[in-house]
Amino acid sequence: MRLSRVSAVLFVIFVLVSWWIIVTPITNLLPDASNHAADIDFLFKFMSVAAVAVFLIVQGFLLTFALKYRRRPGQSVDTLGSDIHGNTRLEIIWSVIPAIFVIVLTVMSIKVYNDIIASHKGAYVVNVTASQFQWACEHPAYKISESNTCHMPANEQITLNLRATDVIHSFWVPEFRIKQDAVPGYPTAMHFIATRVGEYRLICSEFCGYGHSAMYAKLFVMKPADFVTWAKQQQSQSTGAIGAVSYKKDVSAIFTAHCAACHIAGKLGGLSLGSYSGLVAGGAIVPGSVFKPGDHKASVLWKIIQPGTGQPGGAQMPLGGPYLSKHEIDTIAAWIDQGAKNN
Amino acid sequence: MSTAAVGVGSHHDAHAHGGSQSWIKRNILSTDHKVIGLNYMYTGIFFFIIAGLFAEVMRLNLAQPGSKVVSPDVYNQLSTIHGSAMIFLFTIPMLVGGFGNFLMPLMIGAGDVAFPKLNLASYLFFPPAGIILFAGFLFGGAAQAGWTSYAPISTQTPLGMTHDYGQICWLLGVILAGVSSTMTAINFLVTIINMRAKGMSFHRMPLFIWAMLVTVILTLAVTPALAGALTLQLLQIIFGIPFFDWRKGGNVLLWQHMFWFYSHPAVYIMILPGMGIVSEIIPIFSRKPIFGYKAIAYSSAAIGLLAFLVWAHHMFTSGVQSWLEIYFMIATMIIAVPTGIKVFSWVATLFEGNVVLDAPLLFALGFVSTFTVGGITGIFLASVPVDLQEHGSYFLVAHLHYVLFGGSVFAIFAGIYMWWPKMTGKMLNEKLSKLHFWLMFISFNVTFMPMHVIGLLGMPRRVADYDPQFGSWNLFISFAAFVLGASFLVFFYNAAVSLARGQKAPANPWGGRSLEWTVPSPPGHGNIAVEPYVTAGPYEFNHPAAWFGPSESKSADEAHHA
Repeated sequence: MRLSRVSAVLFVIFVLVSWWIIVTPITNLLPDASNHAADIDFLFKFMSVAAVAVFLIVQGFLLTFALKYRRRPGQSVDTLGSDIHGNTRLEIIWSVIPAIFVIVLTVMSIKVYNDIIASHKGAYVVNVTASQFQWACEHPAYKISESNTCHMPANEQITLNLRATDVIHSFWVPEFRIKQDAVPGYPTAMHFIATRVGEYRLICSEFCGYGHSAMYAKLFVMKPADFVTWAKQQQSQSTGAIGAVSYKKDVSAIFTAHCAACHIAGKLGGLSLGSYSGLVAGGAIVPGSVFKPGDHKASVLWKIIQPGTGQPGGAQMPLGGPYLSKHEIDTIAAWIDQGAKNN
Repeated sequence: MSTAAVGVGSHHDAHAHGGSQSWIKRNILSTDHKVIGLNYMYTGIFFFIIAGLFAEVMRLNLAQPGSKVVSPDVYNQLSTIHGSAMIFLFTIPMLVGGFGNFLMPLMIGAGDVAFPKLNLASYLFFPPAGIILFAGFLFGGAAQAGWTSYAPISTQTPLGMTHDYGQICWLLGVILAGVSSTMTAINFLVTIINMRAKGMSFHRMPLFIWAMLVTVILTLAVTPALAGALTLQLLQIIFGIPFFDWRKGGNVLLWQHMFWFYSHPAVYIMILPGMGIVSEIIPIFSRKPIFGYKAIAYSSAAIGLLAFLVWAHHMFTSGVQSWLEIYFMIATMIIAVPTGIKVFSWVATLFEGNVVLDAPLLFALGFVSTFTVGGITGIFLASVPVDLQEHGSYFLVAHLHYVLFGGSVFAIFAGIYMWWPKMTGKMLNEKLSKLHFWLMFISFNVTFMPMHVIGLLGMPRRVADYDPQFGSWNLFISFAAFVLGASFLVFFYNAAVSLARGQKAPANPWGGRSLEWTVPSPPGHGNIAVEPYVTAGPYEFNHPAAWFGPSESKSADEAHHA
């Protein structure tokens, strides 16, 4: 009896140690890329081991009792078990221990949480606008903005100001281990340091409608020096004149960045912008080719991205914004005027 | 208790109708709580099958990345209606309307519920609620904002559509379901308080009745809040009154507060009756008293109280004030304590029992195992920093299915296997029942356990498509989900055979001690021939003599306490 108890305890310890060894690579499958990730991972692993311990204890007793005291062949169903109604000491123990455990967890959680919400003066600010179904990032320090990409410097304190234009979205980079909703009419923010240079997926994790699954952007964490170079390059580009425009290189990149959720992944309104032939075929709501070669002002594609009212189909695209920049609109106009070739 | 005597007698006389009535009057418009309870169950299982098929179509679409089995808007409709139907048209009506109606009056020794006509009215609201909720499919598309129906996605006309009829249908359907369960709740509350058999003090009530008491109090308190929220949303969609429109002075987060103020307690409305069912099964199949009767009863009450205090833990990423998040984290963590007490008490009940491993107990133990997993992952999500990673991911999908499928659905089937003989008068095939359990238990875990991992690795929930890196995980999950769906075929076959040519069930096939086992299977109209006088609790297996007797045996009660 004593020996079997010792071996049961040893077994539990063995399982817990192996679980720590198993769960570590699971969290490691996902690199940690923010200053909060290590703390959150530790909390997760700590809870995970405690959870497995609780589960093993409950499940161990359940299986042991169910098998040890099961009715044997030949034993009558009418045979009664022991007349036990409870055990006050045991019941107090199994109320108090979980209570202490959750208090410890709460204290640990509050400590990590206070780090996560702390804002820092002099942080690098990025204004993020989420809308159906894209991300736009504005860098006030350089007066530049980008669509469906988001660049930020590594190892600097970052503040993201989140805004939503239509419905609720949520900013999630799994490698950062934190997320924050962007709520219409209610500004929210995130504070962190991106610690690992690389390319990440910025995912929308709050259900936002038709294109929700396709609402993601590329997020680049760059070495600070590279970031400054990139930002300066963007500044000069946004003021440059437009030369020869390529469909495959320039125009389809704009479609991928702004229109993909509804018109490449989907075919909303019958229109697919995934191929040149899709442009020629046009949609169901505004029938016919979306462009008239040589005349951008007579082209549906150009008219529908103009600000104001009176667009064919009734609303400015992309629906709900963020809308195309002047540079992007001019690129499309130039491509149509150059003959709208499949080049 | 004088009401009980009057109630029993008058119901018995008032509708002692013979076989001369039409089929519809006997089977649909009957005010007998047993007929109403069974009708709730038939209707609930009908919606369970449809919502389950929706889930299988979703799994088919998710089996491979980039698949186009259904378009994204249809996928969103399926997922919205799957969740809404499972909650509002299956789990709640099944547990409260179904088991509650059939068992509660029998268990407390009453002839019927307090207001039989109100009871019929609340059932008659239920099928129309379901039909209206689904009716959106006839008007161009059902609701597609998710079962949580967050503003403003719910108040926005879906892309590519000119109107929002689906959402209006959803709102009307859920309002009707809410009206139905509110009527049931007031009826049950009055019945439990006033119509218990003589001698059945609160501390002699079966634990299922305790669970039902807390459940109906919760329902009465929070369902009007939901009805209010739904009505506001309806007014916004139809008349443009901007309650949740931030552009016109409304508040987007107001919806989440109003919705979760109902929907968190709703989780307990869906789990407490299940806990009650399990608390009935484990002692009977262990052949010994429940361990810690009062602890289980009072922990139901504690869970019921905490249910009001934790709603914003669904909103940790919404941007609510940080001090509020810390408060809601603390309150949520505390729920682990009463829940733990229940789980430990159920396990301790098995100790030194004569454990009969028949299907009802297997399902009940399956409930304890899988619900424990759901409870534990609930603690993860209660910790704000950990939730910031897991929120809105497949980890959450895994968690909620461990609670509502591993919890409520396992409890529902435990209850069906337990009281099938009482309800139908026929026995089920034990081998097929066990086969159903093992198929369902294994495929359930194989389906939902991997979802924890893909959630951790960054797969968001409510997506019709996903990053190809999750392809093989999802293919595996989809196969398991098809097996899980198929496991129910075993049950339906078993049920059909039992109804057609099953062995006749005795009054008390499992050797239970609560009052429903003292009447024939199925019980006749009016339930009881002689009004019982209860002299002990329902789990006194070792004192069969001092249990209950006809109402004159008051002296026996005094002798027992002497």
